Amino acid sequence: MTDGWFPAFFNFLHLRRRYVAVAVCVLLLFSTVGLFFIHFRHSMEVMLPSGSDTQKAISFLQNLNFSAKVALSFSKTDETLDRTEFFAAVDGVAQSINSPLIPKVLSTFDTKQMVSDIGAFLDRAPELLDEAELKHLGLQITREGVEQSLRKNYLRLLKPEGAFMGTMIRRDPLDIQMAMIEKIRGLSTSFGYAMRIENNHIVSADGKQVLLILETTVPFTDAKGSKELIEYINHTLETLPPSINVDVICGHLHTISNEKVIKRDIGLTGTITSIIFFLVFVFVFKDLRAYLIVLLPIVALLAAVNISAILLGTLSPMVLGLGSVVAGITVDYGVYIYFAVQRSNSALDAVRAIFRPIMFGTWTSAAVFVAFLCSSIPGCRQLGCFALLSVVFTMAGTLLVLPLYFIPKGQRDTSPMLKMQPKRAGLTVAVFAALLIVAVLVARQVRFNSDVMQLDGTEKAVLKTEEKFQKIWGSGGAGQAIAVVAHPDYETALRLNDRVYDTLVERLGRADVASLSPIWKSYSQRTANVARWNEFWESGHATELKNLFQQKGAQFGFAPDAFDPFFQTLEMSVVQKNEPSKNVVFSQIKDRFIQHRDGETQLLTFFPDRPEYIKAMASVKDEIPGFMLISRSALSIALAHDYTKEFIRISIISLGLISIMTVFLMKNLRMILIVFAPACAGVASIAVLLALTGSSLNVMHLISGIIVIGLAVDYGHFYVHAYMHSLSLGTRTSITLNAGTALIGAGVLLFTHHPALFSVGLTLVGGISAGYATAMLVVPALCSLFLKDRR
Amino acid sequence: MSRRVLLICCSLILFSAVRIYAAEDPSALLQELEKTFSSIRTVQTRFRQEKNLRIFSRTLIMEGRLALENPRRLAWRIDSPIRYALVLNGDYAQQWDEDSNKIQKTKTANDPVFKEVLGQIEKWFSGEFASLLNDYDLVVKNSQPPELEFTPKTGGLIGKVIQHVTISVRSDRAYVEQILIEDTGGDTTRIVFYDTVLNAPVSAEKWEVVPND
Repeated sequence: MTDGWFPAFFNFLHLRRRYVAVAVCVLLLFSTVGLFFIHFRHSMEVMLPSGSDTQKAISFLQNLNFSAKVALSFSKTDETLDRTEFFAAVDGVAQSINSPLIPKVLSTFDTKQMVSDIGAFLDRAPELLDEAELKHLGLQITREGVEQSLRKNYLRLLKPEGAFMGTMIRRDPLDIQMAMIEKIRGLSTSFGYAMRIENNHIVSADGKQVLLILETTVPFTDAKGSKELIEYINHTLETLPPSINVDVICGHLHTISNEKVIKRDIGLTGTITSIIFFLVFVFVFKDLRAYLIVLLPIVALLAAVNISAILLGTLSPMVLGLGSVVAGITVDYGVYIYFAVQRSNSALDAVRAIFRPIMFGTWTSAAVFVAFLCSSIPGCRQLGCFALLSVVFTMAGTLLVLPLYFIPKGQRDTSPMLKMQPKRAGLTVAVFAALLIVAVLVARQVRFNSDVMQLDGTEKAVLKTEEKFQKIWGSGGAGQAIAVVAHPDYETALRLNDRVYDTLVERLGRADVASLSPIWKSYSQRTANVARWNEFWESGHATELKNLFQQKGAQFGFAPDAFDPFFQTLEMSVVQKNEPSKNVVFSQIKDRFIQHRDGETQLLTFFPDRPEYIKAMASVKDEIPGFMLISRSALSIALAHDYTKEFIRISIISLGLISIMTVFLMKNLRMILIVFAPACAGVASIAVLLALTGSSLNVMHLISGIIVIGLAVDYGHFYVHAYMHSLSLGTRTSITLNAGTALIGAGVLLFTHHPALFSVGLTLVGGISAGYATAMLVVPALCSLFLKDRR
Repeated sequence: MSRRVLLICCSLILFSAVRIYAAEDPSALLQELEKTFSSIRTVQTRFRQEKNLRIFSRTLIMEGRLALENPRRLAWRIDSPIRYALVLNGDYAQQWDEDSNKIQKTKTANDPVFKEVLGQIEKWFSGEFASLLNDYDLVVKNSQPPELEFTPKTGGLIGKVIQHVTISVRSDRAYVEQILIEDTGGDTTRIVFYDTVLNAPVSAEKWEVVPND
């Protein structure tokens, strides 16, 4: 290629260097301005395999936990503040909220209304009592059972509340309606929050905090909307007296915090990288033109980010945070060309001499990023896209733009000889092999951590507030598994939910299951229940019970007609089609158990997240359409499995492509194995580093591990290429500078606060260092022992 | 004829007198009663409860004791026909009966119905009559000794269960003498307090839900 059209085109550009410079400046300007128009979207989902069950489950959990709600927990900082004033201040905040961002504020609870609402369910017991419960009722209609019920009611009437219960007991001597109240109470406690109602306000168990819940139209993944929402809330809270403190809890704060941390980190890494590059270039190159080496990857990166955003529609700030790493990788090519031009008599000669290794380096890096493009993880695809474009743009700039501005000096290479003495080489290889074996043994201790939330860079202050909130108000059922059914038709969804509930009760027992089904069933199920109820009493149970009440009631003083109101209710049970829509208690319970997403109604059933329960429910997926089982414990295992599968696939594709290119270019198995030695050392060192720091392997480590492979293979190839062709182009200096610049790019990530970026930094620093050391010490030894140079 | 005129005149005078009582500002009377009752720190009294309930074929008579300590401490004991105790301490209620001989501890906040009932009882026993006006309309049937008839406001939940609650205060206005509860089903419960001791220290065993005697 360097002998065909290339020289003519190169010379064409060489004669128009000024125009090329102007074009690059224009590109830089447009790309910088373009950054302000990119739609950034922060979500941990970006690191989950899209379309997988795990992604669906985690997305579901995120929406559930951080559904568009904001909790405000008020507490008194001044104990002398009167309680009435405290409540009034909270009410003041609730009343002052007037924004389209917050359509609903839940601040007060009318306990009397609540009691009345619960009462509305009692008459509907025949609709809601299922077959098993009716069977259980049948068992109560015996001499012993009736005597027990009468004794219980007699005692109840002696109690203070007995003054109000005479009428109720006459209507419900068997506690059928009472059981409904128990069901509703059971559902309320299953929410997992410790709260009580005082003066119609939601108050913490210790009475020190008051809760206000805001419903918002802003999804927590919307960074811009989140900022507006939090600004509005903070502005509203400014009206509070200093004697009241407020903790704000919502997913939106995570989004804002992550973006803040990422922005701060990108700014920090950019500044540190620029300063270090500046110092390196001042002291190593002592040539102002050498700064172009740094400028080129920046221009390429900015252009790549803009094009990626256009192609993909959105970018994750977390992925963009890896920009310094990509810049660190691509700056290598500029370093090679700089030294090559200095050691050549013309720029074109330098390009010709270095064309092959540059292309090899580009394609190995490109192979890694192509593999990322094939990933089902959106974050990997985003990284693959902008890094691949960046690599290709830098390669083009390195071959066509940079040499135009470097001055050929025809200097001689002063690097030490590449050849190593056999004895020393043998010893080096032996030590390397021993270290590799030890590393493999140590690496076996490293465990994979699939919890993507560990990559959440939310600031400690936000997490501390959430921790405090959970301590006060409870964790809201964090240890529960969720069985979900979804269907576009509401009634069908209710029917499926009834099936799920019945299955769960059959397999796990009634006590551990929290579902809407006990208090609200599908119309078909309620119709069937009422028919069963009527048949039950008409089949002789009513007469039998009446006789037993009369026989056994006399000893307690109950009148013969004491329970006539109950028997009257049995005569007219009919099913009511409509649900109690104006019932506040029902609406609140519904809010917890029903969600509407993407045109579907989702119904949720909660139960303890225990392995035996998850196992018992695993087969339900095949039995009930639209069923999804969400278990945090099972999810972790499934996610680890998904990641392993995903990264094996990415590794196979990238290694396959690198191997194909290496084989195609080298056609020699020994050379190929030597080229891969630095990559082996890089990967082994990452594992050792994780084991030594007690860290677990996460998805970001895997991503950076693959980048290390691409970089380290480059070092190996450059050395082997120079060795085989006896090139005097400053190979050792170039590799050192390349590793140095890559280490700078990666090393600055160790100063970041975002855990995802820090993970990448740690892995890259360890991997690149080991890869570089191997390329400088072990590869020469291996070359000396196993390859014959062509001199 | 003159007798009839006299009777009519007497009736008119009597009626006017009743109307004058009824027309007396109930809030002034309540304020006065609340002022008196607010000085009560503790109450220890015996009571007799008569329940005329349609569910029973006879009147149910219970004898018991009440101890009350402001704020929010109450012990309600029945000695006959069977022994039962309820001790309310802040947010928690403990109940015991000799039939089961078991203690049942309840967090009142978890049971809105129970909490509502206990709230009502606490208000009647401790004389927080003004706060009852949120849920009830008041008719002062007699101002000396005070007799207050509370009728649940229409549309409220209490009105579904209670028709009237009539509270008779002792002639010295120091404490409640009798409470009459009439429910919507026609049942009545009358609680008559006697041997009442005010502001004397309540011994610790009175707050034990299981009686020692």
